[in-house]
Amino acid sequence: MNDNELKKLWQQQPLRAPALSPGQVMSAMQKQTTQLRRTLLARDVRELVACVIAGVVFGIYFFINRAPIARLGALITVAGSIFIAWKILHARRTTPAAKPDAPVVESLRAELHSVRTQSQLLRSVGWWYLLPLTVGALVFVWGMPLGNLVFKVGFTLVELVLNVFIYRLNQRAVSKQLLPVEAQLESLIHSAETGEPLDETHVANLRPIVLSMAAADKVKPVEFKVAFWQIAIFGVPGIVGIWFFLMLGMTLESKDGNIKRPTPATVGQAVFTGETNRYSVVALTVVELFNAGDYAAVQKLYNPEMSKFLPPKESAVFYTDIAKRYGKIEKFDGPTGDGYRGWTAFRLHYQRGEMTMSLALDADDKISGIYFQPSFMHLADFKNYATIKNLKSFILHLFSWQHLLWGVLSFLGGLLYTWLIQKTVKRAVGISTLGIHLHKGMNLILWDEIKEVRPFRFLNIQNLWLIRESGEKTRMHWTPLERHSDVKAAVEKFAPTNHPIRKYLPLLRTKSSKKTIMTKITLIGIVLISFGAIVLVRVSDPKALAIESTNPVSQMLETIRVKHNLPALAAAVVVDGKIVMTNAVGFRKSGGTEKVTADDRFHLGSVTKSMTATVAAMLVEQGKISWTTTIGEVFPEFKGEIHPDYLGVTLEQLLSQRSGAPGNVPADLWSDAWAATGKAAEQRLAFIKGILAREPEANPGTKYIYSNQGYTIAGVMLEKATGKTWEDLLRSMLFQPLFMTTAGFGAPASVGKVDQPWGHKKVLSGREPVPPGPGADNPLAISPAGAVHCSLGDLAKYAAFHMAGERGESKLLKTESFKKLHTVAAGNDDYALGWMVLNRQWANGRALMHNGSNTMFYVVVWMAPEKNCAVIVASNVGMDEAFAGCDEAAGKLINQYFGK
Amino acid sequence: MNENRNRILRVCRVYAWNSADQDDLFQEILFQIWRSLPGLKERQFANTWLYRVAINTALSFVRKRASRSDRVIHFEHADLTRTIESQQTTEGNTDDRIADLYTAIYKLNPIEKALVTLFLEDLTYEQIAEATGINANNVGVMLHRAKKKLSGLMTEEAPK
Repeated sequence: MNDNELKKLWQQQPLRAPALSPGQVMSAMQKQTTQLRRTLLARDVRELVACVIAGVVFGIYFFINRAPIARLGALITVAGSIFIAWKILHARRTTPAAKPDAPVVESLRAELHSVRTQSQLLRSVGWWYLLPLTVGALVFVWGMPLGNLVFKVGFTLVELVLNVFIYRLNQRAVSKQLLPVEAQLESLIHSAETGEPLDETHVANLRPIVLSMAAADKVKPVEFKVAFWQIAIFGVPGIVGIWFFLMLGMTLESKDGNIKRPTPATVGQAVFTGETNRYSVVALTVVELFNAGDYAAVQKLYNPEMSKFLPPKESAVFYTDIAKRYGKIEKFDGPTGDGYRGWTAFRLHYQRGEMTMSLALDADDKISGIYFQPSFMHLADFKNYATIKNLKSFILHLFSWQHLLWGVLSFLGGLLYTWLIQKTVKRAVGISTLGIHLHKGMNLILWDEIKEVRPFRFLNIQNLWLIRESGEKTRMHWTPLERHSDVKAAVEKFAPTNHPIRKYLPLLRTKSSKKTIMTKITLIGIVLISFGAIVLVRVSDPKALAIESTNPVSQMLETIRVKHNLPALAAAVVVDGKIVMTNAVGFRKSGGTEKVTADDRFHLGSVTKSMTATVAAMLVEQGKISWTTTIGEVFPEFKGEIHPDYLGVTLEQLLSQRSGAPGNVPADLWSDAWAATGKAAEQRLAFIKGILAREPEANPGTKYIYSNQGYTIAGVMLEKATGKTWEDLLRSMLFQPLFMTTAGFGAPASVGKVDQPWGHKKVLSGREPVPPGPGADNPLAISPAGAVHCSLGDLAKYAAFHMAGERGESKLLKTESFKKLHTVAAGNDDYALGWMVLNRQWANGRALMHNGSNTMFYVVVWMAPEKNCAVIVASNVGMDEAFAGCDEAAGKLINQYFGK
Repeated sequence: MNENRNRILRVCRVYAWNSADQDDLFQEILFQIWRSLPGLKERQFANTWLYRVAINTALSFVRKRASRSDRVIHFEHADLTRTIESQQTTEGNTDDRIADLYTAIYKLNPIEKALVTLFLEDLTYEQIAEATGINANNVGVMLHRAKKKLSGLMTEEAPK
């Protein structure tokens, strides 16, 4: 068949009419137009929605989260998702499909370009997609003040695994789907341009640039540089923006809702002396004055320091605003110990909404700190920020000289960053004209045509103007550094030896770059700025600095702590029955970064004994048991199992250490106690049965033997007499009435967290922190002899309670009972019931003292009942190591506060 | 318009093998023509313009089909329907040859397909160059090669 026959055959072929009526065609067309628009829209909208959701969620976090680092993480995530959305939309925008009536090769090129852009995007997915989100998420999670370490580490691992997975998936998509299409298109275009036959086997190696370079002698490399100011403008806004938001954040941080900074440590913390609830009295007064609108009278309740912090004018503005917003206080609950910084909290129920008011009072019942915290949802509301209401002071604060100084530094940092960008980008800029016609394979820059290449737009230097001799301007998208190796090969092969383009050869890398350098630099910049900002936030965090630098007591304690090599040292002082000082220096965990606070809990060890004895005295007053009740009377059912010598031992003998119970536990019973599981009360019962079955160490009532076992037996007797566990007895009879809100049993910290001090034990190599959990305290069997933990402030309440009781100021227990608890038992040298009675000059005679250690903590309590003063010192190492330091601190504090 | 309609239908038959696909493609091409009409200048309204739109649309149509997940089934189905279609639409000896011709064209690559189609549509080399964007000198060479390949394929088909 010749050509004409074929053509005839072709043109005369019978054709099936399409199964479409004109009406159908029209409606189908309409459908298609809308569908086309819809798919385009849906595609963009989907990505934008994802971005907006991430932006909004983390944006909200940014404003309501209190932790500066977590906020920074949120900020990075928001910026990251904006960047990602831009990147995706940008890739779409710069790769439009060819017009339907473009020449066939042209539309293939557009297709190729779009495929290449897509594969470029997927290949560099780690840089523009995974990196910003991962950095944001990790900074966010690690910046959260709460949440345990396991979660954070777990999250990090999951995040990394997920990243690897996503990365692999994308690379797979590139190699399985995009590369074959790319290779096919390239070979087709190659064949169309050269007329060479299609080399079906080696299609993948062919690159259109090779063909373009066939006309290499016509190529004019047009060099252009991106000016410093252009990059500076490109680079600086980000930095200045971050600076601005940081400053905004810090400004809000320091002023949000609270009236003023916390009180200095020398001013009273949340305290209840004995049972008098002086806090409730003050709170009631404050609430009444609020409702009356008499803010000047509230002002009078402040101590001088507080008044200085919060002058009447500012105070009135703040309270008026709250009143306007929330209405009157209808009722209030409290007090609880969970206020701001452990202050005493009251919940105020307003007509519209709720607020927590935290109070700190000084020794004279004057307000030394007040803090208002609205319920969660209101936090995000700017109207709550006292200072925002007062715009002028807010702006003054925002642009305070410290902030401006940071601004200048940030700006200089920005310039440095810009300079670095330019240094690094130069290489890219030198070759970027090649990039242009690489990018659009068909757009060669010819010697005669192009006069100038000019980068354009302030914030987007990736767009270029190509200016022709005729003055006509064409906008081009510039993708630098694409396919270096191809260009290099082409130039080497085709360009004449003296061609100007050859001087760019050294700039071309042999290996093709996977990422565009601008993306890389921008992202590295973001990461660097983030870490810089973290440092900035850390350094300028006002809370971290406040206490250490100013307080002389802290300095004294810190000196002693360092001298005696203690992880932490804490102290509390009671003067005239009121807590005048609580303080703590050092670290919760040796080698850790978590600092102890004045509210941190310490294990009390044998100081617990006094609490067991006190509860016993209360039960004696209630008639549940008597001082002379014997073991035989309480445990009639065990009569056969108990050594006969123990049967007549009384409660009083047990509490005064004269029961004859052994000072040391027989080894077998002790290892049983360590191994025991089950309820604490059952463990105790089993333990004392073991003790009581054996012969006493001495005849009961004849000898003082300091014994944990004796106190445990006493504790179990109280349990038996009341039917309640020893823990419940302490909680209901001591902790609750005395508002000892931090009191608990066992190791103070939560398992897996450093939320409270950890104990430390001696090991061969020196010292080791003991993680909370099994082994972090003595066996449960001996709890009544030493298992309580609480803050030193709460222990001070307990001490104040004992001294007040002796003066007849307690309703919980009669004065005689206190006297009995505080009097040396007949036959003993100095041991009363849970206290040692000593003679000290600084105490004007009688001093009550007990110390305690579970071998991992140490606490010592000194009371001067005649002066109504007490000192408590604690550390988180055992007695051997802590004794000297704590003794020195106690001595100094006694001298300082009430010794003379 | 009727002549133009037949042109489009012939192109459709090159790129889509079953009647449903052909109808879809036909409709798509009409749509694209309608869409690019407003931007059309007087002098461009040549034959080549119509072919450009038709072939471009057909190419992206094929790509869209190919990128679907049912790619494998699609081709098998196409093979099957191709035979049925050719028999349904062609009667007599001449038409067997038409079927052979389409079968042979089916095996060419997209550029060759376009060249051969335009050649059979009786366009000059210059027109083909204009429609495809291929250098006019190359058109001759490539078309020659494509025709050779085509006749080779057709003689393969013929004995059946």
